[in-house]
Amino acid sequence: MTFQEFWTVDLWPLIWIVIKILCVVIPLMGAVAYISLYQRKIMAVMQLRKGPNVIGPWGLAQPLADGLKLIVKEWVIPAVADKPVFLIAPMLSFVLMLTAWAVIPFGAGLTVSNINLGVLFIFAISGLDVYGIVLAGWASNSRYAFLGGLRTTAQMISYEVSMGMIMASLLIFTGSLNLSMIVVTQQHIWFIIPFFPLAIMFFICILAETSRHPFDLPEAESELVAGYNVEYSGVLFALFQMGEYGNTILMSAVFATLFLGGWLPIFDIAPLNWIPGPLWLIAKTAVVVFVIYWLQATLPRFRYDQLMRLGWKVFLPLSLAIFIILAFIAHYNLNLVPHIMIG
Amino acid sequence: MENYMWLNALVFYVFAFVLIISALFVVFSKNPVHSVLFLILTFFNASALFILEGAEFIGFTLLVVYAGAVAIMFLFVVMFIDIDTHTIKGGLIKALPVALILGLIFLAELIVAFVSWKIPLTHVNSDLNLAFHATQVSNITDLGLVIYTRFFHIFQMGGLVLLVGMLGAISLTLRDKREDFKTQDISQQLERTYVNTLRIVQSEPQKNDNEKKDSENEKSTETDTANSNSNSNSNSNKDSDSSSDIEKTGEK
Repeated sequence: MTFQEFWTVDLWPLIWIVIKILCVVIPLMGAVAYISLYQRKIMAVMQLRKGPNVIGPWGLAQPLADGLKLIVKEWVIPAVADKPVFLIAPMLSFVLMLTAWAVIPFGAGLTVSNINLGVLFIFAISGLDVYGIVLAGWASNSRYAFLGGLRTTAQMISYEVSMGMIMASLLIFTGSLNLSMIVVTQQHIWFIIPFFPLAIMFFICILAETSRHPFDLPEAESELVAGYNVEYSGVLFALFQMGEYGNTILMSAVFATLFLGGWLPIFDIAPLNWIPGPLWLIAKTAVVVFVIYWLQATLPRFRYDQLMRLGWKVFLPLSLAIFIILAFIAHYNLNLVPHIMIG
Repeated sequence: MENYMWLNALVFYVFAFVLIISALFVVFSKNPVHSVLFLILTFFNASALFILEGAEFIGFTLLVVYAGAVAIMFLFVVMFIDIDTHTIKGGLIKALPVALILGLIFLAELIVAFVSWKIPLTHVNSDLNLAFHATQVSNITDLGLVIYTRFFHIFQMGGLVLLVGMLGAISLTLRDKREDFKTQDISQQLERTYVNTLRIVQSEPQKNDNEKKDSENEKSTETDTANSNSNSNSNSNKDSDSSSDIEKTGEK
């Protein structure tokens, strides 16, 4: 094998993969940094404050300053902590967040990896997210952190089940688990219109899965100080924060892909379809993230038993029922849902 | 597909090596929580091997079901229960001969099976190109086509096993219905309105016979007993929900 062959056949595709990964990860890091500013500004406006406005024009350098502060800060590892697990937990939560971005389609053919089981991949990775938190809670060897970790475990597992059922209900109509195919299926109508109840349920599941308000029990400040990350400081804490913000963006992007037509424009007419697909996806994701922070400023926290009740006694039966009804509709080809091709 | 042969092999050996090492650590690590963590790593590597061989669906399902749900339950239990590791380790040494014999038998079976099992090379789907473009044959479609038709009975039997497992779990947790703990009925809470909750009670404690006796017995705590008696009376009249605080203020 000549070097030429080796280069074109073996090496270049590998380098190409790395380039594609960097194309996603680098903007994502920027987004993760600036979403904290986005959140604080939204909260500030809703509470009639100004929000961060000191560092840089309109506080635009605030995320950089925060990042720098956390990097420079000393790490404190508790003496009683299980050191390896304590160090692995934040890395795990950060890496898993990055991994899931591999299958998100940013445009027609614009994915790092266009695999057939994209939805299942997202589902599997978001199921593993719980380990970062539960390991942090256990390894810290602190009561508050442990309680936060245990709460998360139960919470994430409960909502994952109904989230899976909701995804499965959509898949009846798309006929494919490929996220790009799911977006293409929504060319005529976004899924949020025919499947509005599913979209609402999925959104609530996202809130519970990423432990955002009103389900932020793992880090309930008023009762558990900061929950699972109470013992973390410096870079390790930053990794948790980035993982959390990244997950919020990720699940919003998944919501945008499944229900809001991903990279598709609102109407397929001249000025709107000139805007490139990735921008549409980013805009839709930003809207979903806005709604998440809007809820954070609006709603009080759920109590733990209310959360469990909602997950197991309301969402699970409801999503199962919707799944069966939709399967029935699809099987008998009832034309209740216009313009959706049944796979 | 052949292009990535060496890469495929490299990735395979990395995952297989980590799989075996972590499986060993499941047995040998001293801390039970670490054992469970290594078990999760084992699941993860096994699913990576499945994906590498083109069985993505099984790989992801392994990840969702075992790593995402079953192992977390193990972890939950192990974290809660303070296990005495010394007795477990003693058991390990005692069981070692039997375990070795069983292990050798299984190893021999596997070797026999793999030597006689000749897979045509064309069927080996070295699917690292999964990362480049969607493969045409989706194995979830294949699975869907056969599982509800050709293997319907096996599928049903699997469902039955799951049902038995579910019933077992429910019967384990469902004890006699306890009366002594408080629960909240959310529909009842939501039905509460201003009109049928707030009630101004004009009670005159001295006129009640029972209370008279009480007040004679304990004159020092006269007002307290009157309060508690009137509360219990009014509670028995109304829903359990109606708040006694408001009535206290009514009395005052």
